[in-house]
Amino acid sequence: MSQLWTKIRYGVRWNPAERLALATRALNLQKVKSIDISIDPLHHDNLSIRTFWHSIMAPKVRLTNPNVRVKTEIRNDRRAPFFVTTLDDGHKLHISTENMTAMDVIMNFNRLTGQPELGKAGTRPRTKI
Amino acid sequence: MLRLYTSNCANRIKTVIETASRLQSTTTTSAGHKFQRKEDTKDGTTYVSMERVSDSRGPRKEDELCSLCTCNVPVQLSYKDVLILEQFMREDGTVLPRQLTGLCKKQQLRLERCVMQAFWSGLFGDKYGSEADRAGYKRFNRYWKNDMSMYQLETKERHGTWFYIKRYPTKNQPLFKNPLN
Repeated sequence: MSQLWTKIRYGVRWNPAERLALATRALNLQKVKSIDISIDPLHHDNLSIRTFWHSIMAPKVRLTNPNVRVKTEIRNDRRAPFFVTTLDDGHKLHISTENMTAMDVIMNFNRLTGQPELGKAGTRPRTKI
Repeated sequence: MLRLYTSNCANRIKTVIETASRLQSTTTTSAGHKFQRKEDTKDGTTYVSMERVSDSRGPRKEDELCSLCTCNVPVQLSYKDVLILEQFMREDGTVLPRQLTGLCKKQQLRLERCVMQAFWSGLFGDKYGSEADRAGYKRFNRYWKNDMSMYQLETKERHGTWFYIKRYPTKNQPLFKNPLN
């Protein structure tokens, strides 16, 4: 209808999958020294940390900082999964991912490592083809 | 959990978010059914986790009305209720999604229409930026009777002309289809 209506309707969308995709694309390990992941594979709520693990091992993300050491501990104690990130300045981030979705994990990670949560562009209307 | 998604819109929509998480929750537990981000820093380590929070109202019931339908007095939202509209808006002047406002479909669309009208009637001023399309005749503020009246177009009668009388195309066409006439 009009530009304004398009803008209003665009803001009304609720699309978590898109936010996850944007957050994943915005991942950047420049300020990270190491990531220690600790999972119990039989814990019921470990999908989010596995998704996070998968997305930080993607080649494009690894290339942002090849020196990042990713260490994984597979436990067998039915405890909640977590990971500890050591930043360049020695600060540590202990994120326990129970009850988080993958989007929450990645957005938190982006925010705490000083990156924009949803990337520089953020959500934006699709360009017309 | 929902605080994450809207971290830039601070306290103003806190109640809205509360409603939203009530909408999304499905289980009834005494310990609480919503999650909130907990973050604290202890000797060089930042701990982030999700914390269960409880809501005194409990999860949303099936027959519960939305916050604009539930008024005891039948109030219809209009574009003049700027302070109400602003509670459902972001900092950049867009409307929050229905999952966050907790409104029913009908009220949500009404709200969006009212927001658009409020922009066009100049009630928000320059608060949310002035790029709302204002070209041509739209540079003037416009006013409406209700939220639907911008879609209900009328023919303007001009006395002394026959222009608005609907005319059928008569060129190269027999006037009547029945050849007997």
